[in-house]
Amino acid sequence: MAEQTLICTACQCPLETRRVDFEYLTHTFFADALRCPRCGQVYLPEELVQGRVAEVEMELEDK
Amino acid sequence: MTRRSVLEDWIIRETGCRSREALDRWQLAQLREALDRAKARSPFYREHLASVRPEEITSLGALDRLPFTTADQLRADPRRWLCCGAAEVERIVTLKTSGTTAAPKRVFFRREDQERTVDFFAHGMGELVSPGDRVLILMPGQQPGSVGDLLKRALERVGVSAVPGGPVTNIAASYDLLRTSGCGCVVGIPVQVLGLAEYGARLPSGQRARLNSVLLSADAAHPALIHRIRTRMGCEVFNHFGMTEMGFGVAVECSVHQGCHLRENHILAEVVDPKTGARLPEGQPGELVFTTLDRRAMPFLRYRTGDLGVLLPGPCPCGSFLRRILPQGGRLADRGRLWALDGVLLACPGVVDYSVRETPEGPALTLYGVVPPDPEEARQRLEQAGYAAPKHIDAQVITGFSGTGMQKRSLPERSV
Repeated sequence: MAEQTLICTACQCPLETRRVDFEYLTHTFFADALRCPRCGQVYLPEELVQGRVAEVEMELEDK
Repeated sequence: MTRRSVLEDWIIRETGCRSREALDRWQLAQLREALDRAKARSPFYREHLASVRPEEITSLGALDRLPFTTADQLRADPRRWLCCGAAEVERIVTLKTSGTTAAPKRVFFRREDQERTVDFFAHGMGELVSPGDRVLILMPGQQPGSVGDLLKRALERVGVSAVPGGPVTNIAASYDLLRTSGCGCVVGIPVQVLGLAEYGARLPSGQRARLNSVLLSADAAHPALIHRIRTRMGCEVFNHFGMTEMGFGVAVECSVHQGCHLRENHILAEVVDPKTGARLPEGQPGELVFTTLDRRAMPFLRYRTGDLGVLLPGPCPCGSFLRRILPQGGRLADRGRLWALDGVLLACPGVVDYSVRETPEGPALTLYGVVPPDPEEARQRLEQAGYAAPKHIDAQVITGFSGTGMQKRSLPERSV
């Protein structure tokens, strides 16, 4: 999977690694992820979601 | 002056039940529906309740047929507990357990679930405040859907303004805020409110805040602690028992202060023998087990809380037929040791909190106060209570409480 280039189906162009901003519970954080240079659609791989995103979410989900 | 628990009228309106028997039947009917929904929509409950036939749960005795749910099961895979799609979840609350590498507990709420919590808060706070009053909330409230945020929304709904003070990271600053904000009521975490009480009692009387009432929440409050707050602050103190899994609010004292009246339109409470799981009759202490009757995201059915308590028998002296729990005895996990120590150490003059740490020479006790408490007083009281007092007892000044304050106090594994 890491070797393949991912393309955006709408724009038919390769995704590029970019900084992506996330917002959750009024806080923002960022991570690098594959993003379409044309339409901005982001591809979130499993490892990112289960890893960094989940970590930050749980930190913010305080009582 | 006593008046009937403010929850009763609300629960009568919501359920149509005016008697204990009617409410028991109503709860069982709600439970059967909750079981049907859980089995139909939740992968976890579909398996967990596979051999349960909801139509057979027609008496409180029949609850024995329902398997318990536990914190470990919750930690293992909270998303399988969900009875709705992930997109319908409005808020997740993550509870980390300090001192372990265990997965955290994550509790999921839909907007309707949060609304029921807000409704309970709005009515329950009627024990302490009326429209036009002002409440200082010393709990986390920054994030949407936090307990402080829901409480603020609830108070505003009933014409009461709320000042979100946040946890007491600095006692002097929080006390200043209390005095200058015009709040007659404080909602806070027990030892943090005790810190404020001790601080205020040492000020010249002209500089003290005038308080009508306090609500204690988020952690266990030993009667010894409640007594100190009441006498030092000179106001009425209401204990509240809550739990994130139950949507933060579970039960609140009435003006009689003998046990906390349960939110029975939303929660069914039991007490069981911690070893055998057998249901215990009213009046017998054991482990508190709760069942949510109406949660749309994540129901908790016969959830073993790990907290010790008792269901008080009979109607309350306030005149209400609503059941009461007395949270008492602390946590099963530490065999109630912290609770027992609280009873001795939080009765000592000037002690706001304490900690125990293991040293090569055995446990060492540190007492905290706004001025250093007297170690000898603590030593004598421990010995009178039948403890072997630790060799090392020292005293420290505390100026505030760290973290969000939402971690419950605990003792290290091997100690007093």
